[in-house]
Amino acid sequence: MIEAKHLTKDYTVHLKGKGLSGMVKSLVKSEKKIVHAVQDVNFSIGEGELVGYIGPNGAGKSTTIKMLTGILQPSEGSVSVCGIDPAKNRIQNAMNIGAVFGQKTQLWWDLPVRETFELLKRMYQINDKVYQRNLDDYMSFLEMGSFADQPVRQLSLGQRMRAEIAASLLHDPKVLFLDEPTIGLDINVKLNMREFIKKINEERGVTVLLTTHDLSDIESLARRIIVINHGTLGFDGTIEALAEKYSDGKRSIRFTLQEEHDLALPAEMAAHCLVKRDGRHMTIVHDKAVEAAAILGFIMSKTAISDIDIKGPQIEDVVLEVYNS
Amino acid sequence: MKRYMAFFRSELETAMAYRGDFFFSFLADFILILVKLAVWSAVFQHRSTVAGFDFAQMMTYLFVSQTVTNIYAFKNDASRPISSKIRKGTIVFDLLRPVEFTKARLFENLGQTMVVAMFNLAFLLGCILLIPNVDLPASFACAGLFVLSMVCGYVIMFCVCLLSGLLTFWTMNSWGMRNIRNAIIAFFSGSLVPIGALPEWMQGICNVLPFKSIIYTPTMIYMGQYDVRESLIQISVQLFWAAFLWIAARLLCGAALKRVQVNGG
Repeated sequence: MIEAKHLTKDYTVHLKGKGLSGMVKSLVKSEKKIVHAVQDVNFSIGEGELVGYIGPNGAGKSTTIKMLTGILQPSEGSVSVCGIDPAKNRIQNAMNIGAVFGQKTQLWWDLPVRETFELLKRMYQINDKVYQRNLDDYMSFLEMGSFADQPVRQLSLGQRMRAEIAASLLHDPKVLFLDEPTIGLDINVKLNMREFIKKINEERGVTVLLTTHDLSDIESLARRIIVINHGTLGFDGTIEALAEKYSDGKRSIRFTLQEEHDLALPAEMAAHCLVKRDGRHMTIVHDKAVEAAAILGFIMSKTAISDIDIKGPQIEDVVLEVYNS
Repeated sequence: MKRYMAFFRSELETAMAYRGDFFFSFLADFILILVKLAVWSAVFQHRSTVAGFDFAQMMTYLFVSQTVTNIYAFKNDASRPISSKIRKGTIVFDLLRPVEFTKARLFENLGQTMVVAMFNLAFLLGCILLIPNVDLPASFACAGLFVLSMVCGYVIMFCVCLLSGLLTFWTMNSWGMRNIRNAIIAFFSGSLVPIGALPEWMQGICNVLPFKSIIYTPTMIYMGQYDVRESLIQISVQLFWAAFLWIAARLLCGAALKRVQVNGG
């Protein structure tokens, strides 16, 4: 469905000198710097997949999406979406895709939401039946009834983002690109949006490529993640595989003991554990070589505990590790 | 074609939402007419004709040429939305739509122009009724040819603005460019001074540039200064420029979209 082969995008940045003299100099001759936003990226996404595309700020996520939507032309390599090259057939590709860019609005600032939808209906030549079905469906699921007749400039961010995603799906696109769709949203709207994305993906089989900095979006939606860092691919696979690869399956167990106790782990266990104490609290971080049950059994045999909290690998930590690697 | 009507409608509605704003800009342009009127009255105190116009004709020229100028370029300069789209990065959505960039801009601009034209033609009609020296079109034929010529002039003006707007893809700013362009158009189109009142050598320059076709030609046709045959010749010249500049704009647009950079996020 989506294919990127040796995808590369370079930008030329004109550097401006410092101060007035620098400004005058740059009028005559400006220094150029080539920035490799995306470098030799390869991936392939199948029909109906929901893929999280993550990376730190400036990693090249948005640039990739802009090439897949036909907005930017790749410097080298190629992309194909539904078998179409977006760079060559931008208009044809546009009919197959929908996109939301969380930082920008595709709605007409001064027109009511409903009017924007009507205009998109004309622009995409959506037939009445499909349009009505989608409109009713999205209006009720995203609870847009209360603000559909207000001009977009008067909407809150949460209302606007719901309208944005609805607008991107009116023409039944086969592929949906979401570039930070949940940025700045409160938890209610965020959950509603996630449910909606899930529903669209599951019920309609829309292929979704999602970029976000909110990893809980990824955890609750994506089965597969692609990590891009400094313009190159860092990882491509399931979340579990990512955690496996980068955190060595480290987990932490936090005990609250009934009384302070200076117990020591047996040597063969201690080699795989990191123990932190704080009064009655004791946190043990251990790797795969030791089973949680063994640690639990040992502690409980030595002293009475009042509370226990086990945490698996934290996606944030794992991703941080990938970003910094 | 139907696809593009969405752009026409969106801008028509947006312009209507800001009709108060339009009205005030419109007042500002009215003041400009008063200034020109004062200058020409001073000139006519010493001579009875200028560039073959008597004072009454000069007044008609001023009002009609100002109306045409306003309709083309007062709130609806096509280069402005383009440079703002480029600077703010919202151009992503224009390229996301299943439409051609230049055509969509044309229809957008037509939507705004409709509203502006409505205001200004109503104003012109009011002036004709209230001010004795300002005349109706010289004949029905003139009125018809005037409308045709104004449409052609509009397309030329749109293309000139589009071309200057597209240059923002290279310069990233359009303010300076717009000012230079407006100064050139004001001078060589007959908007500032009737071209007939310019020295010969300057008239020669005007004849080989497209700007004369934008304002001077429709105004002269309105006033009956050209007979039907001459009017049709002038309209053919307009059609040539309109086609030439439209093709140029599309070529430039093709080159520009290849080097799109999206600002911000």
